[in-house]
Amino acid sequence: MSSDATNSTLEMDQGVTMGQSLDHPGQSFTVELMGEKSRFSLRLRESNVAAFAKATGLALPTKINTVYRDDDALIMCLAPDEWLIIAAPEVGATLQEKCKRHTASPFSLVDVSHRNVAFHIGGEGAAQLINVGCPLDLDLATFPVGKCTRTIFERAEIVLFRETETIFHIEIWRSFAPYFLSVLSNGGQAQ
Amino acid sequence: MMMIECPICNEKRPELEFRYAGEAHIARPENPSALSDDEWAKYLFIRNNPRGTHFERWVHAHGCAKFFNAVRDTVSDKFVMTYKCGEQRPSPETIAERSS
Repeated sequence: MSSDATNSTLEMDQGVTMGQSLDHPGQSFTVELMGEKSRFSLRLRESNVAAFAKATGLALPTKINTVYRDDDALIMCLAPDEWLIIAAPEVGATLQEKCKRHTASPFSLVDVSHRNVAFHIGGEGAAQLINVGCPLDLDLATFPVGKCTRTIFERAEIVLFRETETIFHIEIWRSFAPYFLSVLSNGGQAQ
Repeated sequence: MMMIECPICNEKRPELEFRYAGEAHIARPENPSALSDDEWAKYLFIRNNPRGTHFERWVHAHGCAKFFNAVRDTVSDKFVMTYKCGEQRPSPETIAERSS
């Protein structure tokens, strides 16, 4: 469990105490709160995707539930006309400028940076831990590295992305984070 | 847990991710103001409610967030098939084939 400046931010915001409940010696997983990110929700008609990508230089993945990753940003295709873009805070403004280059058709780019928080769940037991609240089959054959999807964790909506075989990136609405952690905490003890 | 195939994601997903959205293939009248109150009420409220094969709308609320249509047997609760909005209602032959 990492503890950095963002942990204490979440503690103040939500009354979450990180670092104790999920720290079970001998368990084969880690839960880490990610630092601040820029996030954008992009909505764009399917027929305009190619023109948008050309004008802005953003490589939008067109296959649903896949991602595009480079040094600047992580772009997840959540629906045929919806993308979640995650980038470092300093890249956010640049991204907005890039998107403004597309003038040929309407699109919507909404800054949702502070709507979500992100967790990295890692380790051999990561998939098992996520399955405490998420009924998806997280086997590598059905949920390979690089796959992302919006889904549900107990009663909260999450965006789940498999970064590597043993590391999952989870986006969750900020106000649901304490609930999410408490479920994980109970599940972690049961494991 | 019941699994429902989303025709947009092309995957079977747990039913928790979905929401029911009423009967499918109900076209909104072209000119509502030309309708009598009875006709308008019929469009708004009167549904088939069949025993057996039912054409219905679903939304993949906690997934791609898209609406699609499904054929479900209201007796067995079995999903026969799902298809995208705008596609024709599947023929009885197709449904019989998929049901077996």
